[in-house]
Amino acid sequence: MDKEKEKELVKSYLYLNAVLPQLEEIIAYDAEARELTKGWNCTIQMHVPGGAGVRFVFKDGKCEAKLGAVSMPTISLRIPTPEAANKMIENTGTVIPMIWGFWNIGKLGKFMKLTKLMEKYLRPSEEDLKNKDFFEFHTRVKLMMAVYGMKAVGEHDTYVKGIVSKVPNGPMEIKVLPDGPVAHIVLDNGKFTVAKGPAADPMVVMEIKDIKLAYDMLNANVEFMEELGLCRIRLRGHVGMAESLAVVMERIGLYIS
Amino acid sequence: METYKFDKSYEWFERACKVIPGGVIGHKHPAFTVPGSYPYFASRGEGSHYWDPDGNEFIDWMCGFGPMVLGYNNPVVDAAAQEQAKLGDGMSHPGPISIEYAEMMVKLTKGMDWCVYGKNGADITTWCMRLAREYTGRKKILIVRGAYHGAQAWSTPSYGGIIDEDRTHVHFFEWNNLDSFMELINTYKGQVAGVMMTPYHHCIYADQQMPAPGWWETIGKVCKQEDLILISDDVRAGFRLDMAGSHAYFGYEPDLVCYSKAIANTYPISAGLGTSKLKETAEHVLFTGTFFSSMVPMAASIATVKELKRLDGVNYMMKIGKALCDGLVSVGKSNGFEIIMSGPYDIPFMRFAREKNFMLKQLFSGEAAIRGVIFHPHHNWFTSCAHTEEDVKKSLEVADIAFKKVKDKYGSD
Ligand SMILES: Cc1ncc(COP(=O)(O)O)c(C=O)c1O
Repeated sequence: MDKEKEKELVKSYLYLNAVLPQLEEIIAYDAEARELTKGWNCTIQMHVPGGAGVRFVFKDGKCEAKLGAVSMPTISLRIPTPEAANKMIENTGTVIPMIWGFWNIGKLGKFMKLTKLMEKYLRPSEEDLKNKDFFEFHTRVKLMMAVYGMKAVGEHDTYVKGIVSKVPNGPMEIKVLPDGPVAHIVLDNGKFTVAKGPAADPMVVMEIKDIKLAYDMLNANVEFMEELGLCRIRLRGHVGMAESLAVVMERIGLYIS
Repeated sequence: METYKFDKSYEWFERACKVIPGGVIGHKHPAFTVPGSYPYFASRGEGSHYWDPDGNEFIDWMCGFGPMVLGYNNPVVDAAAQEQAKLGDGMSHPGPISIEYAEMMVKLTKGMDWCVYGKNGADITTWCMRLAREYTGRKKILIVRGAYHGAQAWSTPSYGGIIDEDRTHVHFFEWNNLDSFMELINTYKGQVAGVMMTPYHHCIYADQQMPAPGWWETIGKVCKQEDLILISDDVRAGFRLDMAGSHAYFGYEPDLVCYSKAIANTYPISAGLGTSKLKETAEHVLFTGTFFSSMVPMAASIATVKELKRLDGVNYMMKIGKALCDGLVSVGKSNGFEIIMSGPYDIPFMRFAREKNFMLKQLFSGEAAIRGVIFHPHHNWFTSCAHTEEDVKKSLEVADIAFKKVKDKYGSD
């Protein structure tokens, strides 16, 4: 695959499998989003055939994001290529997806509104960030995005796949102290599974001192080795594994900011 | 037993971070031990001990990652170095001592006919690779997966600044796995210049592996059949298995031998030795560096070799290492842990049998460090001729406490 094509492919996985799934968190947190989806009992999916896919399962006032596409969702947006998916999400071109389930068009309109609402949390204003609660939530979403992003990059970027092939199998847990967000990623022969919450038997745990430091780390505003030395970020377990997976995480920045 | 504090280390680290990326460069960065439980800097050393900026004293089982074999500040080695320093160093020609040095190394090392000198291990391993290519006119170099041959682009385990092309012609096979070796030999028939290997497999985050019966014999045979250059990277094991080279210990016949670390008891020097068939080629492959001909480290190296011979150093280091290794297994057992010690006694690697992720080992090592004993959680350790039975006794007492701490937190096996 040529470099440009690979870039578009990885990006589409990042958008569909790391960025969009955060809608689950946002619906749980944001009253407006909850109102928009009130009473929904359906599955809405976006996917590139043979490529990235994400589906949102709405039920009992909750939304669950799942990676991958299924054959019979309520509504399906089928986007022909990774390039088209990226354009659509970046709003840089007109993309007309194939829509299955157009009789649910009202829902689709609201769903599109939801994705717009994400912007508020993904690119927050200075003002919003001053609110402690918002700041914590934004950082949580960003952390989850980074962890899901590791899967997208780790499985589809050729350079990173080379690194990943040498990393031992097992879970890496990332945890913000004292009671901040926790997520983990499990590596199994080049394939990643991502989940929220702690890992059962982690190979390595990264503990970040507090949410402010997590925010700075995720915005590339800290020097990692310095923070390790100062014990503000701690690694317990297979440090070599964390070192390699940090490269995977850093690589996300090459595709999306 | 009172535990140490590292306030000054941290203070210095913060200061360092302002002018040194990451505060400490490379493998001595605190992140690779247990930050918070180790000193970050060493101020002074003597024998097998050193002191940190807070004045804490440590028994050092890392020996500076290998170079210390006779003790820090060894009076015999330092006197020889100082004598040379008085005469001057860094002049516009190499000193006569460079000849004395090469003569000594050639005489010492089994099967070798000539010697060059550099600064670091990687200077030599990288040059040997080029030498093999020049001699054979071929490109490929075969190395063992997980082996370390230095931090040059072709061999570093790190990723920053590396491009694919740096390793296009470096191929990996598995230690003690003849099939994977032969697969490369057959795939790249007529293209392989050389094979670079350490005498035994000292990998990181895993048990060290000694050569399986017949391993070296077969490697040697295939290299001869295929006319490949066999490079023995003895940077880590050199002078700790056999003064004639680790190839003499395991009974193989390399074309090139790479030395550094232990050969000058912490003075900066490395050496490359080769057989006569490569001598002329060695003239064509530029090997130079401003400080390669420094005389003080050569004087130190000559004195180190004499001292190691006088003290029967290798046997002593093995003996003291055995006492430490056996002791740790036994103290571990009495605390309910199965402890695996792998590799030679004087370059041992310790692991809790039940774990793969090193959390127990990190806690163990950190608890030992705050009580004055430096083990490393992930890297192999080293012993020296300066380590005493008293050091072993004290280290095992501390290990006993450290094992108990591990038991308190994680439970015994
Ligand atoms: C086996 C081996 N080869 C080469 C090197 C590189 O030596 P240096 O760090 O002096 O460049 C090392 C260093 O640890 C080593 O252990």
